[in-house]
Amino acid sequence: MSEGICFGASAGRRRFLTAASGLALASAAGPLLAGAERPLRIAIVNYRGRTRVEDGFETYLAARRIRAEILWHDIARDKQRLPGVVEAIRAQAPDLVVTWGTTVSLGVLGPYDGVDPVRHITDIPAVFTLVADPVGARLVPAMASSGRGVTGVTHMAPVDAQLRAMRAYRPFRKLGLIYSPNEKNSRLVAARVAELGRTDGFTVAERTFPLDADGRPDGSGATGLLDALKADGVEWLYLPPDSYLTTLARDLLARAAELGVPTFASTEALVKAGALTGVVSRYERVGQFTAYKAEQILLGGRAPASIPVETLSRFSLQVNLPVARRMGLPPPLAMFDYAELLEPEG
Amino acid sequence: MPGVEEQTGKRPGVIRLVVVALVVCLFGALMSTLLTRAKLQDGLSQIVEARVLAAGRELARSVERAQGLGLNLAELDTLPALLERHRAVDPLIGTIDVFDEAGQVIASSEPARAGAAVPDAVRRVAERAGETPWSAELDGERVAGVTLRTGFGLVIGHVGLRYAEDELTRAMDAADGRLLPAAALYFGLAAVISFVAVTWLARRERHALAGASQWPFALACLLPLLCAMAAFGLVAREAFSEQLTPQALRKATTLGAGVAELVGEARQAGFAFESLYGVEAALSELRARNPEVAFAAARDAGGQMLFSDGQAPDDAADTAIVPLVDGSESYGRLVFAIDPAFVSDMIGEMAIDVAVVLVVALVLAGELVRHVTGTAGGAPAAPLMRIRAPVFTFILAEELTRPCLPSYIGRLASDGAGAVAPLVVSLPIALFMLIVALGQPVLGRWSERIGRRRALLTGALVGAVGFVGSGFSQGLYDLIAWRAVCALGYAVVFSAGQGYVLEQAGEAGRTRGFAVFVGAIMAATVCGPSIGGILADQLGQRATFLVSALLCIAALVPMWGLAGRGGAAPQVASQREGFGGLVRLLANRRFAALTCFAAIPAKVLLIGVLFYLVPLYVVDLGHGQAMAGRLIMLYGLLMVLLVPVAARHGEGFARRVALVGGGLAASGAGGFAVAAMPDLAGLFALAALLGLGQALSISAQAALVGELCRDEIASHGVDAVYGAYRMLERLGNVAGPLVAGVLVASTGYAGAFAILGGGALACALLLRLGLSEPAVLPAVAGEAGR
Repeated sequence: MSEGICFGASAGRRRFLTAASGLALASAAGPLLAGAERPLRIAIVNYRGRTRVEDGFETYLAARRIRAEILWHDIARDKQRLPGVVEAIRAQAPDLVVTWGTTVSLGVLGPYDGVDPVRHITDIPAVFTLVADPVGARLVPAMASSGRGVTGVTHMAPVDAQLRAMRAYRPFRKLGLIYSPNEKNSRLVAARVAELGRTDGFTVAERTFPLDADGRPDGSGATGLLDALKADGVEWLYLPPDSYLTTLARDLLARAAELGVPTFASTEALVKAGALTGVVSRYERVGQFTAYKAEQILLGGRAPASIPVETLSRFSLQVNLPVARRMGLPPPLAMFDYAELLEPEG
Repeated sequence: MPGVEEQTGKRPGVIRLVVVALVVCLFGALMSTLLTRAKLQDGLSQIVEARVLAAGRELARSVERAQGLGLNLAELDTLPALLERHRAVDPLIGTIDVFDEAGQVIASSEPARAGAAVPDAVRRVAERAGETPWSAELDGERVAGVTLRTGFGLVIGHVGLRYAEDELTRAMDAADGRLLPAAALYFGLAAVISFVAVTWLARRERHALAGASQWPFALACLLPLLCAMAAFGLVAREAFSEQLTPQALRKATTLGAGVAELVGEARQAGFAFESLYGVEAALSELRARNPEVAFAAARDAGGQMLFSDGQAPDDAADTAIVPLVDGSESYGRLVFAIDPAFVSDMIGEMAIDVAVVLVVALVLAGELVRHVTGTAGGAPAAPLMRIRAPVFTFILAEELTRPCLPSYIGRLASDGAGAVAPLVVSLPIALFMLIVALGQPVLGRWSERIGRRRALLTGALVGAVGFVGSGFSQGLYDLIAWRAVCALGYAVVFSAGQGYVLEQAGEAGRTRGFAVFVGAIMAATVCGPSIGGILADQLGQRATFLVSALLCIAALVPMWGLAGRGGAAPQVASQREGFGGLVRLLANRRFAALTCFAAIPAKVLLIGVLFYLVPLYVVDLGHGQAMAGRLIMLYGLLMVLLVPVAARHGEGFARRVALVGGGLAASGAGGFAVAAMPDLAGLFALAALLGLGQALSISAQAALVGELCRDEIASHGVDAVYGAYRMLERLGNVAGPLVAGVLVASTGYAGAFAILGGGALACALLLRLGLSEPAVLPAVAGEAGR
């Protein structure tokens, strides 16, 4: 079979591969590639080096016995490196591109309504991963389909599932919320929380960071906002996936623990920063799901546009044990069965 | 039985009555023992399965957690050790396999099994289970399991826990050691007392045994049986308690170990036992899932109760204690008390079945005693009465299959692969009705030629063959073929039985003759479905068909004793009118209205709803086939009780029209009752309203035919007219399951019931209009206009 592979003409090779993998599926009744076949080539672009997402990605491929050569790229938190990475990927002509996070994904793939064939990759199928709000970020017009050769995985648990977990931990009637008004994603989540409050019968007290003249949020009075919420009588503080909030999280969460307000995080970073608990996606699982989408494209012969952008159906409930102990708020007994108990060193 | 008669010479009736008493007693004993054992086995296997599944869920959580951390299933080298550790938790568990979707064993607590394939049946059950735990039976072993999923919901495999049925078998053996001698003793005693009572009664009425009242004899059979069943119930309660309580305690211990593990984890995480949160909630949830646990509590090392849920038990309650230990330090214990009422509740759940058995025993005793007293030498019309027993027995065979036939067809048609079109299920039932409808006139003439007795014997044999074939059918097509054979046998026995009645009763006694015939059929309608439902649930559907075949064989005995040739000249010959006569009759518009708006819809409702929709719907709702049997029995009981009442009050044209219309409306209301009321309440209302509706209209309808067709009867004879009328009715039987099948396929059950109910109401209105137009006979018109 290998004599049919023609290096260089990437479009032709992709067509061939799709056909070959279709054959493999039909004959071997599984996604197993024949041993003699050339391994797939997948370019992965990272934002800050390798993470556990890639661990999950590779584990999935290994479990499915899919042979793949990974071509690593990393921008090391520096947006300036994006054009160079795009250039390098063009030269490698891989079978698939995987992009990590919103910044990298937008840099490599471009917004759906502003794709520039010069700056962005357009002729290689791509799967983005770990993008909290791909619609808000304009990566895709809708979750159902990107309308182009791109699909992806998001990692945020549905807000109602998060609130259910919160209620299971300790019931509440009044919920506090702090976020940056300039972050679209946060505004969407806050609106969703308010909507759930109306149907589920709880009230929401929210505070937003004031914006300075340039429209940037100002967090200097953050703990004051928290004290005000405490005075309002909130029983929980909910932390949306807000980038600015995350930068202030450590101090804010320490203050909440002092005030005796339990805190619920929407991302793993916020739990790590000292929130009591949270429902988050395990990066390994996000990686596995990303690999599953890659498999659907590379071996299942599906067009990326036909694969919806999805989130996981199962999430991890993390509990920050030192915080729980300090606040005297042990998780409900049943939660020990499924919670991930975190005991950060120190 | 003729042999018995010859040997004993002078007192044949007494011997036969004693045989009846013994048969009724044996029936009661067998059914009681069967039901009790089945209930116990059911309870035991549920408890044991829950125990195994508790271990399975625990394991699945560990595996899923490891998988979520990025370790993949096949390469999880700790997996066999993990499986072995969970296997060792409960001695009940034999092996634990983890297998993938293709059914290949990825890892096993028995390493040699890795790479092997699990049986196809197990793989299919696991595949279909979805989120719920599953269980399957496998030659002598049971497998219970749960499905493993990835963080994004994909199935990655299944955990299957094989467990031996040893423990179940041992418990059942121990229970049998108590139940079977008790059954032998109590039912034996009942038999002896019945024997003495019947002999005494018979001696007292010696000179007038023929035609004597059957009720004292029936009571002499039933009262001792009733006492024996009560005494047996008490023994069953003890046996249940002995076997179920230790199992329930063991299960509570397994569940408690899971809670203890969580408490241990919580302490490990740095929370003091007494400071834990949500312990009551966890205990309460455990109790909700295991209703036999009446009370659950956690105590500290000093015995102080920290957390509890449920009513604290008295000292007599059985309790399971799970110690809470950390290394060598004991810091408390969990206490679970078993509800002493849970065994009584199980016995109570059997009460309905036992009551059904008693009602059936009553009808059976009445039927058999009537047979003996009615056919005793010197009884008036003894030859006529002899037809009752064989017809009852043969029809009983068919009635047994009513509650299970639809789901049996569905099972064979689907071949274990998902749902089957409702219309497919209705086809064999409709075909049966079609053969009976078309076959009767032809077979009536044939049986006249070869002799009714020979025809009956042939019919019963054909029926037996059909039932054996149906019971062993492997697919839809052979079942259809065997059901056709059953239909042929049914049509032969039905028409030959009718012919026999006509011959024996003569023209003058034909009303009384048909009452005997219809009485036997109604008795079979009461007894058959209820017992059939129980048999199908307990012995299986195939075994029920074999019991039906045995009943056909049993019917041969009283058939053999029938008179060879009848006395009176048969009049049925004039049925040879064919379709020409039918068309002429339908030109009588009022007759057409009666058949199209009353006779045919009534049959469509009866067959389509009661014999097709109800059994399917009941199983769909998750109830057993016994429930379907009870519903059909309720209909039969109401018919038996109300038909004579309605017939007594059904004089005069207007009243008959009102009865027919009212009956239709009642049946129609039944359809709406199911659509409106959820679950069983609606179904019981439906069965009752159908019974009421059919009972109101059946006699009045037949009488109306005579009134509306006076001219036709004068010119063609009464048999031709009634023959045509019955033929049209039977076409309703054929249409019933087909109409219901189409409706259920297009609108679902609730819609089908509502539409059929609405149709019946519409027919009742149309009938009213169709019959109220100016009549030929002024007197009749005057009455109708009132």
